[in-house]
Amino acid sequence: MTRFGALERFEILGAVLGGLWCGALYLPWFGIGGADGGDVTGAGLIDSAWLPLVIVAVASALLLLDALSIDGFRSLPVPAISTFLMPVGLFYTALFLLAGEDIMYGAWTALGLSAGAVLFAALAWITDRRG
Amino acid sequence: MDLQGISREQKELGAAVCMLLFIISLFLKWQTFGPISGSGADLGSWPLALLIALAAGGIMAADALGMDLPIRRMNPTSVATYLMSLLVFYVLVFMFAIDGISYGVWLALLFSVVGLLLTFSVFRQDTR
Repeated sequence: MTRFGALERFEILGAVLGGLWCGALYLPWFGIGGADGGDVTGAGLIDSAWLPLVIVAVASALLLLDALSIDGFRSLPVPAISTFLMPVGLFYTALFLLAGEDIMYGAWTALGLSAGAVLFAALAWITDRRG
Repeated sequence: MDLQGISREQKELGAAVCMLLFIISLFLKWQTFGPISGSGADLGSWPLALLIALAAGGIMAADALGMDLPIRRMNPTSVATYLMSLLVFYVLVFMFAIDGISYGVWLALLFSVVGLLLTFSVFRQDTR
């Protein structure tokens, strides 16, 4: 069985939490205001929800591929790039949490997941810089 | 445009002015949809954008004026660059979502992008 070092562990945790944040976009974030009177998901809040989804998905994929040592990614500063991209999810979540009412569990789940993803991506970056 | 010919302080003050103009653009017309129009300040999250622009512009202005910043172990221009990239993201998210985009959004995009370019230019100078 492959034993992962600290860098790879942080990268995998960041990638998993980032991936789960993408899934949390489809949980109910707010209880009122839906077009059909139902709950509003994070992805249904705004037409451009695909933008943070794509950015966080790319950051998570890069971390995972780097952790699994896929050839072609070694020349890229993947932890630094992911640390730059990952907070977009946290920012998107915070934007709507600050503005919304009747917040549901999906929004809090997304907040926790995005904060965790940012933390582990940053830890991977710090570990990578220390060598 | 050649950014090499502009001094570091001029770039920093330019970026700070861009942030000030970005804040003003928040209060201009962002959307016109038939008889209805709305400004950037009608968005529930606009105080967050305002705070980010104030922080980024303040950091650049303080650095240009040689003031000590209470940011230890961090390069102030890297923090400002990051904050400005969030503002570009903020404007883009709403640009893609709003029907009937008005001039205020374009101005907000222009000021956030120019501010980011100037700050990034200073950041690159610092890291070389």
